[in-house]
Amino acid sequence: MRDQVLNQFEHPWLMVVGMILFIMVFIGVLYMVTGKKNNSSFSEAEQLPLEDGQKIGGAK
Amino acid sequence: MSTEQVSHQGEMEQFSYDDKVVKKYILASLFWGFAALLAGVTIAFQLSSWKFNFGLEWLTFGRLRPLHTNAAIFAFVGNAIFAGVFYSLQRLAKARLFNSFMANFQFWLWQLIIAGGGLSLLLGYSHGKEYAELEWPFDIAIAIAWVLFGVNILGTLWKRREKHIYVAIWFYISTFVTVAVLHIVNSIEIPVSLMKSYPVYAGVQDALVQWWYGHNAVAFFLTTPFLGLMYYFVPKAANRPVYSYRLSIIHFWSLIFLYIWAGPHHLLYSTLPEWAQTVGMVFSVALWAPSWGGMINGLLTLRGAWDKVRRDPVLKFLATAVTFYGMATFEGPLMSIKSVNHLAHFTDWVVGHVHSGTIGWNYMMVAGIFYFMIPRIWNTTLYSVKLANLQFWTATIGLLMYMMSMWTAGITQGLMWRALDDGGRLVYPQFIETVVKIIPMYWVRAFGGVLILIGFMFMLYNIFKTIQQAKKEEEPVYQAPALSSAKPEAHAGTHRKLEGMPMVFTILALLAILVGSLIELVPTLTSHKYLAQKTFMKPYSPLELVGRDVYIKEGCYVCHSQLVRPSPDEYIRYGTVSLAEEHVYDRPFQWGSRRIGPDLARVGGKYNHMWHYKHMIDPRAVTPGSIMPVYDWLETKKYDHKTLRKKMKVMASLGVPYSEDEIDNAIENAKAQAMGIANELSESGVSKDIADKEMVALIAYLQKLGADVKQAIKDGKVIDKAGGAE
Repeated sequence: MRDQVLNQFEHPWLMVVGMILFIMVFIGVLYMVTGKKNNSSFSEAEQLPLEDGQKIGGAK
Repeated sequence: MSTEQVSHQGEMEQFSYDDKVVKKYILASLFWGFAALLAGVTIAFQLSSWKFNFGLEWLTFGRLRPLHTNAAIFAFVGNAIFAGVFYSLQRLAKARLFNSFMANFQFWLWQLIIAGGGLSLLLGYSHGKEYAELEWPFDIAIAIAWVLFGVNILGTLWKRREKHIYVAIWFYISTFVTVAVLHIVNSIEIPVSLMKSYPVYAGVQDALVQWWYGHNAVAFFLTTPFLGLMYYFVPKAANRPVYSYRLSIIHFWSLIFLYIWAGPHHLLYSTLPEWAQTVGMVFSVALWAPSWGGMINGLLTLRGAWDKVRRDPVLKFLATAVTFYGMATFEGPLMSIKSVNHLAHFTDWVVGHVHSGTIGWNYMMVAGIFYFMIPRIWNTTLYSVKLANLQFWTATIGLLMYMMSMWTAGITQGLMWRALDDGGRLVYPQFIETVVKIIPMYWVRAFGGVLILIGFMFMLYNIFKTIQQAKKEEEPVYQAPALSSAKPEAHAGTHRKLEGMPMVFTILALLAILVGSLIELVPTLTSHKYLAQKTFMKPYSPLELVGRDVYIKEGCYVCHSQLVRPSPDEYIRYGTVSLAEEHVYDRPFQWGSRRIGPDLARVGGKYNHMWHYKHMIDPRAVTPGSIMPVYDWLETKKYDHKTLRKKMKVMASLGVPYSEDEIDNAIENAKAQAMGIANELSESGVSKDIADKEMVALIAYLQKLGADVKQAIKDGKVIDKAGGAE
């Protein structure tokens, strides 16, 4: 039965679709992040954890 | 809504952070962490010597091990996640938590789940699926708590004052959506009673869903939230921005997209379709790249701050955690390669790997994060840096002892199992030979665990003293520009724009994890090849069904597998290679993940009833050197026949071909079969009347394992061969 399942698997295209999707997404993300126009905004984003907001006192 | 006080000073808004709920989660995490480690050390000693089971039903390895794993993952790590996420989310969003009541309700609900769930596991109420053992009422409660968590994340983002959501929050979002999907899909089950249910999936399908869930519980509960915490706390503690924001974008999207596919590497050489196994392996290997991308990003954030790592316990723990993350994510893909997996699977190598992740990565991260947060939110300083350093070294040495002993034990046992002489015979035909050989390593592991526990106790004392010296102060007030005052960026790239749209981001993250999930799950779940149709398998008799539930209740699956892989040594040792068809009635599947004892898939008919009886009463009487606990209460506890008809009705509704007559006469049929076994035992010298006891039900089930396959081979319906039966 195991061999039958392997031989009769009807969806080999699924793996091809998965591979194409992955490559497209990966290239898309690479394109998005490597552009120089993002330099200033990424520098700003990197600072986010270092800012908690300005502390102005202990009482509400 | 929250109790946030907002006042406007031009475009500036004043607000405070809800750290009270963060404090609660920290204290809960510490409490449960101690409990989880204590349970871990106890079970480590139970494997070194069976006497540490103390002959107590609720303290046996089979029940305590699920308690340890669930407590470590959901109680210790879970509470730490909530603490870290709520602390960092508020600060990154520059907004108070969306709803403090909801966060507090979630807190108490979560603790109730942990306490109730832990108790239920000790009492033997188990779903029989690793890391998903809690029964259906707890599953519903977990879903509610998790939704509350997600609503608070998204709600806080909705009222944020920072336009763009930082990389840490992306990981929090992916954690929320993915765990929700995993938990719901894996928990679809039909209740039989208040504390018993059967999954809708059977056999191969159940295995696929379970390990899609199981592996991604590691990925999206133990990894992604901690990567988010890494991206917040490492820059914060080092006072340096993240090494590469660009790399973090690639890291995030490739990691969540790839991770979800990796589950089937837990099922290599099983009866899962070959393509699914291969896909699982390939994506696991591909995970090397994003995992190491994240590790490199974390470690290089510390560039120029290595002197601080030497002095600051926070950075020491965080840097070590990221290093262990790198080691564990190197080892994981390696173990997913089929040839390596055949050696590693079912051995202690896997146990060592898991602990390099949970102790090396999660525990070290938790310690670093707690040492960072606690002085700040209690407005004090750390009581003792020396004690924190002592904890660090104790834990690190303990962990190294743990990992190295498990590598040695795992590889030794794996090699012994497969060793064949020139004549093609097993060099170690008795399974017990391979167990006795690794007992010294179990002692090393246990003492390593003791060191880790002692280190944890140092942390408890250090934190107790830190909190004790804290001065009570009013909640600090912060101010930040209102979100409405944020100006649009002229040249923002696509991803930058996306970072300003949390809901769109959430949907995209959901899509990223659904692609792999659907492609992997749908073909197998929709295939009729895995459902009971014309099969040589006979459904479990009523008594066998009850016996199967006893098997699950006692946690037999944590030590015994039911899966014979297609290799010569397994064929010789156990018999015919496992078939997909023989699991069509297995709800839940019981393939297991570790062979502390031998595989049981072909144990039916191998021994007589008396052998099994003696084995439960005193394992060492039939297998000298065995480390199995004593199960003598099985001959005094009556098996549950009240729910038997209901169980069969539920099974019938799921496709098991029980007739109405069989269901109506279930109790009588069970009694008749039990009487037959009891009579045979009586003839062999058992003086007690055990016809209505759990012992006979369990023996009935064990004798069923593999019996139908052996009969089918005799009848010529199945061809017996080592490379995969047909």
